[in-house]
Amino acid sequence: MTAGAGARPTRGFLLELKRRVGFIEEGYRLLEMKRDELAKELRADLEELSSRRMGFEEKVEEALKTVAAMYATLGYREASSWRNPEKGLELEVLPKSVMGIPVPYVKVLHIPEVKDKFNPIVRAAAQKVHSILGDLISVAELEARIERVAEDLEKTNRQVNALEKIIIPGYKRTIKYIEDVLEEAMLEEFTRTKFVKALLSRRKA
Amino acid sequence: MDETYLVVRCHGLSTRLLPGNVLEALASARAVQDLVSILTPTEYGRKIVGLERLDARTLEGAFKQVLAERFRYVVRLAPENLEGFLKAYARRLEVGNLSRLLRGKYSAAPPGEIRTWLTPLEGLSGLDYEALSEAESLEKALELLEGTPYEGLEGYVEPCRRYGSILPLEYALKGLYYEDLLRHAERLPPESRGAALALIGLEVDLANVFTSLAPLVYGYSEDLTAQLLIPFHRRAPGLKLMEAVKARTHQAALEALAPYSRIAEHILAGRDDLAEVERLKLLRGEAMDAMHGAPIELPYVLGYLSLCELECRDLSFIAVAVEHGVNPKGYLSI
Repeated sequence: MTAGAGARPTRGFLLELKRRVGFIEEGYRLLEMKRDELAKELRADLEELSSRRMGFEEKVEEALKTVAAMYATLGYREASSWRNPEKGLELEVLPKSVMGIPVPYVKVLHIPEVKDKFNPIVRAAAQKVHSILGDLISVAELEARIERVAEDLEKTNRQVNALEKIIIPGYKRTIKYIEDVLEEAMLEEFTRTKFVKALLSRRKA
Repeated sequence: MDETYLVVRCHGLSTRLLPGNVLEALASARAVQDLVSILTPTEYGRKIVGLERLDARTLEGAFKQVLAERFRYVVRLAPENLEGFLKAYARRLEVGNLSRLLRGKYSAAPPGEIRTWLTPLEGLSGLDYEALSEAESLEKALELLEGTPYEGLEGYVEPCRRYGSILPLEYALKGLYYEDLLRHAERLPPESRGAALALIGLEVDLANVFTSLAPLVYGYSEDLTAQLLIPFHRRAPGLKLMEAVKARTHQAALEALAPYSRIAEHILAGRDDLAEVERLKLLRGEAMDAMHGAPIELPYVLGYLSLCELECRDLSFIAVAVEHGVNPKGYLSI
């Protein structure tokens, strides 16, 4: 922002600008606090994710290997024909607010039972997948939450930076410009008054 | 045509079975395309060349078609005294199709999808798969089986609903298959009967071993499991199987299934895949023994058919494993 661009060098405008800068600085402080809180939240979530993932990835890999081996052992036709007649996995994704950011919260309505349902080869794979389903959902939920918080943190960071580096300095430059112009005008006025006063006293004398 | 001609033809046909080193070469393939290159000069080449898309799914279809052709050829050559038995034996392919179809009906899968699970069995099956797959419900599909060797399965729908599982119906279907096969086996010439019953008995024993450990390993209900046991045996009699079903400890189950302890150990360790490999190796060993023990009699033919099935399974395994990046070595029946 070019200092003084569109600025009216009047005392009223200066006061309005100062009020506006005060308001923006208040917002900046709040955004800064939000950014710090979000960063803290993100760090905690990332730590939780890494602790939850510890050992979980091996479990997922093992389950996927078992499923691939099941497909290989039975063939696609046989493996595809095994389905759980029960209603499938039912989830409800609800919004939850974390510092005003809507993050998904997964409510598990129904996890299908695999007991008594499949033949020997399928049951091993089904059991493995079934055993990781709960963890898989909670990790997915946490990852989605991290993604949203990270997105918002990035946005907040951009806003904080824009306020800190561009908007507030711009306003301050404008204020400085107006103050300079007003001071100059005041000096000019003072000089003129002095000059007129001197002239009048000379005439009187 | 007489039995000797059939056996001699099977000697010739068995030379077309893929040798172990070819299967090992296939197992080392890095892509499905490599499998195609190796299989093109073999009996599978004719089926593979016509495929529009080359992936594990379509290759599996080609392998199944070759298996069906091999069975069809043997049944066509069967002399009058063996025809009934060999037709009954070959119905295992039809039972496989029917099991998949009924599973689809039970889980209300779309008819179009169900049809993709079936193997074309012209000349080996008289079932109207089109009508069966279009049937409104499982019950309607079972009604369509009236007048076929599979009638009378309606009584198993109630246990299926009670346990929320298709397994009672499926094992009843298997039971019907083996019952019919054993009835035909009783009429076989005495010199062939023993070896044929041994081969069939081993198949049933192995299926029962997997079933009987389900309560201990996977918490299946004992009464459901007891219903799933096929009432025939070779070395694992019903009483021992029931001991395994009721076993509370691994040790007790292993003692009950002593003749098949290696397989049982794998299942109890949660390695059903390794148990399956062990099962296939036992079947291969039994088939080879039957072929060597009676090179000019029916057991040779049964051994050949058993090897055809194992080859089809090994090839399907390799194709899917290569596609999914699983190392097939150690999972084959060889």
